[in-house]
Amino acid sequence: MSEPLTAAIWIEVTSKAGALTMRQRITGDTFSVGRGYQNDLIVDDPAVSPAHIRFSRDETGAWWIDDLASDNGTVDMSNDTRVSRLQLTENAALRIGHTLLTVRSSAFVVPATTRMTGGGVQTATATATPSRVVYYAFTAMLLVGATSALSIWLKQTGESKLAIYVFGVIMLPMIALGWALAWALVTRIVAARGQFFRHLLIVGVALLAMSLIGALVKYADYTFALVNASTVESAVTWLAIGALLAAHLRVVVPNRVRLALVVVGVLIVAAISMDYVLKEERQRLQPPQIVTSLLPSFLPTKPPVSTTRLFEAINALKPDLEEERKKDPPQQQGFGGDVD
Amino acid sequence: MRRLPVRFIPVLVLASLLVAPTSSFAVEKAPATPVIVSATAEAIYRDAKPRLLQIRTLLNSASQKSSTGSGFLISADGLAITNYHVVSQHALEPQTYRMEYVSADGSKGALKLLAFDTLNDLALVQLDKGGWTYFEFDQRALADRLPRGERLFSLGNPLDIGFAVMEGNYSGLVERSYNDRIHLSGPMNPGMSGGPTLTTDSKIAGINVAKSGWGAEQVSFLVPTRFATALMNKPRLAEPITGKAVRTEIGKQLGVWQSALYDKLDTIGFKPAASGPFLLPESNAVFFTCWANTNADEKPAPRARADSTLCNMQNSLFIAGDLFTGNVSIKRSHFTNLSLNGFQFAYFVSNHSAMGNERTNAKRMTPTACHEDIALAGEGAEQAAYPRLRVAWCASAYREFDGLFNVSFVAVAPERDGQAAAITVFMNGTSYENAARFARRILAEFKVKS
Repeated sequence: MSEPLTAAIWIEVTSKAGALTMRQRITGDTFSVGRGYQNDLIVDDPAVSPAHIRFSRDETGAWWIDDLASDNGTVDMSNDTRVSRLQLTENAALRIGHTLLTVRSSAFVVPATTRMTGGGVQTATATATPSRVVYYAFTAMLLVGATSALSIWLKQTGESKLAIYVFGVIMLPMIALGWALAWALVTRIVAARGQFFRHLLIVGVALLAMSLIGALVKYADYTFALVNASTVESAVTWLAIGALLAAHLRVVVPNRVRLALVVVGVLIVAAISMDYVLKEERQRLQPPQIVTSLLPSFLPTKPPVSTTRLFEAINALKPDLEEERKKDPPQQQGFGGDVD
Repeated sequence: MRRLPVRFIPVLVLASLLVAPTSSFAVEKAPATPVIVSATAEAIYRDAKPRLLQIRTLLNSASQKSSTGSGFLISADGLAITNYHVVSQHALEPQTYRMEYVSADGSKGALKLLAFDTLNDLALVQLDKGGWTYFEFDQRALADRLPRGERLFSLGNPLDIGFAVMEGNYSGLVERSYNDRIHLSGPMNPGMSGGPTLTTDSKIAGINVAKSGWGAEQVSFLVPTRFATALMNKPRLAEPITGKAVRTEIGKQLGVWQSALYDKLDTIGFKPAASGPFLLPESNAVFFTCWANTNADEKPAPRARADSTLCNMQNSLFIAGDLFTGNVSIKRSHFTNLSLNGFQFAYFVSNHSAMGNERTNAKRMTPTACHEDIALAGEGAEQAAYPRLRVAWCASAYREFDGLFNVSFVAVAPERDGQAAAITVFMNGTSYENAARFARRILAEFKVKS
């Protein structure tokens, strides 16, 4: 715990979406905050009462807040409890309505100044871009491009054409850029900053993870027969998409992570159910592709089965087909056009 | 012609005989081959005309014809023979289609389907009245003893424009056909299906069934008459056969037929065909026609060679306009790596052996179920003679016919000394057990060269 505050203080007002909207210095001995115009600081939050909270010094000079019997109360964010009176400490965070009030003393240490290029002619922005994120995002994009090039090369059975590689290498990073840009726009609307490079880093990492896991699953299936490749791959894909969305939402609404996770969870569950419901339809339109997964002979394979075992497994398919026969054929006018 | 997609020839052949009512296209496109009608032909035509029929399939709701074929009388009380494919729409969908006949004098009447033989594409129908003159079967033709080159006359109602006679020559039974068909060197046109082909003394020598597509000229096919007499003499119910009973009967006929076919394939056996370091089984059966194919002449020069041989049964049984069955085809492939790395060559081989992505006819077939694994044939020390194979099996069941399946089976031997091999088998209209037995046999014969 910090020492009680006695000196002059600053209040930072952060909106529901997590954007810093205002800083106010308190110089006197009392200071009131609320939605009404009699206050020293007006907060435009419908959940804040007209007279909500008062800051005041006691005889020792320590700062206190009093909740002025507000409708939605004042919450001490350090332990998430409602308070009516509280002594303030350095960096104390209070929630009134949807608004966050953070208390700073004049001793608050700000980050070091960002070095400007070009002789300091440009004006320094208050929110300097964290250069490490830019660097990581750029590296992720390079790796995504390189992975695409590698996968194209491993499947290159005809003449190598530069155009195929250029297209393949640029394609995925371009999609990632577009995706990150869309998220940055959303973030800019909701919060103060777009955080473009953070979004780009997130999608880059997700793409790399997906291709890496995809390759691992394929190899695990081929060599160890540990996993059922298609099932694991679809599960992993959904998980990765879920994680991707959650990470983006965490940037957009940092104060609502739990809500974001619930939204993502619901979306993923809905998508998986839809996937399950449409399975038959998809199977009809696009039957399974078989023997697409040969790997070079120098890689070990899982132990082969005997022909007896093989045909036991093959015969086990028959009852399912007999069962399927008894069902009515699917409707001819499904989406995706006619069948024959 | 480098590679005929043989599998589809019979499809086109039969389809070309199911008359499309809009026949002007065929007329315009038909090569102007002059057909010299001799004095004999004139006499035959005059003599045969009252015994000929046009057989129409009408759409119940519109009372308009949806297809036409021909037929001929074989008894005074109105029994007639035609092709199964001429009556199949009515046979399978009696609620939607009905049949009628039109005789040479223009009189019309209703027809009933009494019996059929899908394997030989024949149907026995009963006219609604008696008092007809009729044809007799040629005894030499019944015993397959017609001399090659004998003049024959095909009759029928081509393109729904009136009864006609066309002259041709007997050219023996079609070689390499599992089901017997007569090869007639002569013209045949859509709408003549089910009509008779006569000898000079107006006896039946065969029943019109198909002609060859793919730019071939004057190559036509007849069903031997012995199948027609067998159909006539087969015990049958007094009631006409329609709807569900038709499906049961088709299933039964196909079931018996495929059993005999796979027994025969098993008995005839295989001989080893060298494929680099591998030995692939090649069927000894004469009823397969094989076509070789290579990518060697592609430009730019391929970085891996794929040489394949597709062996196909010259046989496809017509069940419905969108359902042919009974075909077995075997594709042997040999891959040689020229300048690819291991991953690229594996991808090349996978790409050339991939299967299961063919769309199935959802109305007729269930969705496809597949199983894929790595298998090694033989027991103990014998295993050294076999390659490890990537094996896949895909099957779908016929919705309408109990116990019949379409199965595709592929076994791929991965790279060994820069070479790989694969064998793919397509089995249509087979029992599950017969397909498995055939596939097992293939695995037992797929070896490493010692």
